[in-house]
Amino acid sequence: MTHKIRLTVLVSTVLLLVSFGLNAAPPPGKGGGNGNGGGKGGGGKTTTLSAVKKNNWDEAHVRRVLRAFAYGGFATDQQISSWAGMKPNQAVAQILTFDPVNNLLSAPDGEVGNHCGTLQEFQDFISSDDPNNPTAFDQRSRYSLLNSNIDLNTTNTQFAWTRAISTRGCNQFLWKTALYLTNYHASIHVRTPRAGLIRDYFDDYMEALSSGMNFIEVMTVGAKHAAVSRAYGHQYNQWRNDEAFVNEDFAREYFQLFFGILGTTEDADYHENITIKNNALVLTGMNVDKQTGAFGADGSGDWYVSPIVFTDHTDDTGRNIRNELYHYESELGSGSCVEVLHENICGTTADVKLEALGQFAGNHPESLANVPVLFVNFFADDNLDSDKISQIQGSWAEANHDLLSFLQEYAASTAFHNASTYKYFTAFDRNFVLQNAFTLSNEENLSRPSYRSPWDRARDQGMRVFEPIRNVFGHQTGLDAANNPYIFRDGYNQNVFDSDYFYDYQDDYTLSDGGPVQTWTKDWASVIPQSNGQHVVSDVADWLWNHFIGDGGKNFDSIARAQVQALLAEGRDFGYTVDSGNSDQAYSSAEIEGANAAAHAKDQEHAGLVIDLASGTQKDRIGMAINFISMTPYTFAMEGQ
Amino acid sequence: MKRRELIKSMAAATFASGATGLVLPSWARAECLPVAVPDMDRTVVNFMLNGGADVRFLFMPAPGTLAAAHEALIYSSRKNMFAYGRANPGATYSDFFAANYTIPINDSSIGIHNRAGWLLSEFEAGRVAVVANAVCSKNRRHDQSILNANAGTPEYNELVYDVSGWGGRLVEQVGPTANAVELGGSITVYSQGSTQGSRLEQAIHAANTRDIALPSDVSGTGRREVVTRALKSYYEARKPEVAGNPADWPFHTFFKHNADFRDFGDAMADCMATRGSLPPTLLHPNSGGTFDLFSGSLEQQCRNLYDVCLAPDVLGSRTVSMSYGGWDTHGNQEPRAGNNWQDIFGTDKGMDRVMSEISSIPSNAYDNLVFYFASDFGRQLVTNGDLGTDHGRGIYSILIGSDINGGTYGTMFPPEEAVDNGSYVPLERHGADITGKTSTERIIAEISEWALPAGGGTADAVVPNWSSSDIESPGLLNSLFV
Repeated sequence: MTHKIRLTVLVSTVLLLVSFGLNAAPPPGKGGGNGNGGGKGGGGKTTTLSAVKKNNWDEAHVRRVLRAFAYGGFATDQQISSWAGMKPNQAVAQILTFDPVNNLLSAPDGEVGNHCGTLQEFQDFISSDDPNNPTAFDQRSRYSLLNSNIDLNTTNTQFAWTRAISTRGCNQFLWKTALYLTNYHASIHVRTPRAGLIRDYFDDYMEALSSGMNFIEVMTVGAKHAAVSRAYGHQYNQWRNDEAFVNEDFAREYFQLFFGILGTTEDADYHENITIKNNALVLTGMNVDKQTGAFGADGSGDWYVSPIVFTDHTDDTGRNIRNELYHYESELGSGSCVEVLHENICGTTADVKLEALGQFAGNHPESLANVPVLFVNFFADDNLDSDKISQIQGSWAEANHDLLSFLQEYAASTAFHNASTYKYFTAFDRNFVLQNAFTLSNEENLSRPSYRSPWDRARDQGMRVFEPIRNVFGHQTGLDAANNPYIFRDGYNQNVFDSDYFYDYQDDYTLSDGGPVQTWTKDWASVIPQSNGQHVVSDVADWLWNHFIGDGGKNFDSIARAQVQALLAEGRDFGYTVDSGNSDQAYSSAEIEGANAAAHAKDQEHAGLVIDLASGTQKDRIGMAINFISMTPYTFAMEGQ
Repeated sequence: MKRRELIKSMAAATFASGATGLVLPSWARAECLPVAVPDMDRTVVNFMLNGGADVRFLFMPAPGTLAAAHEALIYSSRKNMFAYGRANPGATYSDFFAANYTIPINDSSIGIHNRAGWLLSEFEAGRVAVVANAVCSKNRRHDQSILNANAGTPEYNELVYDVSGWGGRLVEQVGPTANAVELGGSITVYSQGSTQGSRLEQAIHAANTRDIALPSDVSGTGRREVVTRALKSYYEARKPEVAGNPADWPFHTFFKHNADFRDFGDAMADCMATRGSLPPTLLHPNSGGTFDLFSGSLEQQCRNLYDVCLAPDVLGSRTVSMSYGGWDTHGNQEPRAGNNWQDIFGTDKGMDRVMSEISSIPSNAYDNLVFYFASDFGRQLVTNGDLGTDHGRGIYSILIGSDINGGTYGTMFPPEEAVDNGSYVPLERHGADITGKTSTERIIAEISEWALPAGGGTADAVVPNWSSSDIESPGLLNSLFV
């Protein structure tokens, strides 16, 4: 039903008259740095990122990296201490890798940790009856790709993805990077590709990153992807009888979103009428095959599969796919060329042209300027200034599209560990960081019911994976979350009303239908260090704060400390412990520190108490303390110093 | 803790911490006056159509009012977008027009799409102004253009969101007790103020005006009560202590959220209890009502708008932000855009329902609202190969209100679109768009002049460059408002 239009193809003589017209992207290299020792070069040389000095590098830096890039990860305190003792670049090179398993960041805890290479692998395993599957039997169907009607199930796939983030053995940095690519940078919504194809989209990025592809290669994987063709609709773009039957949606967003080319350094008319329009021709012949019974689904609407096969053929369901015939001037073979970004892009089929185009797009000045800033903004900094941006751009240029080495360099840099840096957390960031800090084993993670995962909380706070709130323009940002008081309120309500979420310390489950009952138990004593063989309230309070907030105690003010200590010592809020008849009295720091004798004395008394972390009562109190800590402002954002 | 005690304890805490120069927090302003429903000051509703709305879809020339060649080109450029055009290849433009558009009684030159029945009736009542060939952005990128529209700065060409919006600047000009009230899912740049680090100081997020509260049950020793008290007293006591931190300290935001909820939760609950429940016509069938749109979000925003008119004293509302997404109609435009327009402008749909109910509120609210419908950009003149339209630039702006001088402003269907410009005929050219001739800065300035109290601020401060910005013809908008 596609209607014919005549798309004007400009002749080469016209093209020759178009000036190359590229202005350099905002030039890196004002020199100087940020006052924190950052910024190599200056005096006309390119400015690049500088690593934090070894002497300044400590555990707070390590925890900052973990929270920003890996949802906190699962490294032990000993490992964090070890990283703090290393040179920053060496430590970060161990923390941030794209390997499917990073033993130091997230050591596998049982067989499930060996199934983290892709979402498909993980989802298949935790929903299976594999004897090594630690998932509670009654929960497995919640993670299955198919529902009981044998249709693809998006919610289950989201559940599975959420569980992976909190699974020891899965590399949280790799998964977060793939989340960025699929839900922000090259975002598409699940509604058209559906759960199977969008899972492939996620997994193909995972594998591209793990295999060491550079940024251009990774984005070309995405640009050629069946899920993208379905989502944007260029699946049906065709060139027939010298006429184009196209829309130019992805033709534009390929540049803007995948490669950060807005066209601001281009001649506007050239960008609109040559580059974008001709890219719509590049994207002809990208129809998507169907395969009978794909993903095990019954409905044919679920049968679209990847990768796109760029030939003329009949697919498994009998559909005639004409991806060569309907590609722009394919009869010319490799001589089928179209000008895009001032370059002749040639190839018989769309995939060949996209591979060629990627090289020019990735090296376009706007891409070089914008892409690294987008990454940094997503992971780490909502307060970028021109100095930091210059350093980021300079290092990206030097990285030669090596995304991993660039992110490692940034994570160890003074631009990140900087007093001016702060990052607001998305609902995913906040809830996953908290979940990972709370979860002590894979048994606990996978035997808790699905509604005791961050999926519900993130959903209520506006985030479901593969359902970006701005569609192709991406998911909730940290700023979105910070500016939305209802997210704050939802977190508040969750902590108050959903009392079990952070109180749970044991539960029964089975691994088979009617099988023997097993019990998982959380052992806080195994991770909270002792002082002189005892757990003292003030020390436990410090540990909990740093474990969940990760700021080295910077924001653990007297009021917060008094509340945490009172909750640990008596299972009551501080005001109640001072005067149960006036329990809603709010005490200031000055009062707690001495201006109010009763308050000060009570706080001191709490601080020195010894507690038994093995007791159920005490575990309950730890749950209260976590509910308090995790609703302070410091779980909604993080600072760079 | 009672409100009076809370203020007292905060003052004590402030003194104890040695903080000075503490600005009176916004929550101290909220109050539900002991009156039925207070009158409302002039209030601008910025209604953002996210995605790049093809506003020209709403309007077509009445048959015979343009040159024959022009009319033929308009039809040929658009007809394949419409099921009628595809199913009736031999139909004339008059046939097509009669099937899809209605000529308003007060302007025989245009037709308004039949799915926008309320808009037609409002136009006929003289309450609708259509500013043709407007432009709010010079690019065709969604994110940049939405930013430009919300900031009110068409020439701004950086993708930096840490800027003020024209709604935020407007309430700053009105005064410190005025607020921009966001009724949608998130606060947009539109409501951001001028001061970096505290851009939301005069912004309120009222995504559900009947559900603004934080847990407050502080009696008892159960887990819930204990944690509630611990958090409540922490935020109360700590907020004045951090007030002196740098303005860009990232955690101020969350202390403010807490304070706003404590304040507005109480005050709004008081007001809603005394000033009436929501009428069934604005409730979804699941809640016992009859309000059932394609967009649940618009339903909720309409309910919120009704409540804004019930409680202007609590909210301090002088501008309101609403939104509706789903306008990026590269494919299959007719049903998608048609559903959207119907949701907003259809008979007995969103605007019709809420304005009908607002007219029943015993105050001046109905006459003191002006709606301004904006979008990222317009769309191209010619249908693409996917039954949709691709990104353009120029757009039609729509204003609705009792103080609007109804009618069209500018040339609705410029003749030059149908003639060869030396390179091509725009209505034959895929890629051509509406030529923006009137900067939305001009429109916003007129709106600001209307909204600002006498002697209380200037449009220049809201739209600094309005007087030098483009306008299709001098004085075009001088009579936009009554």
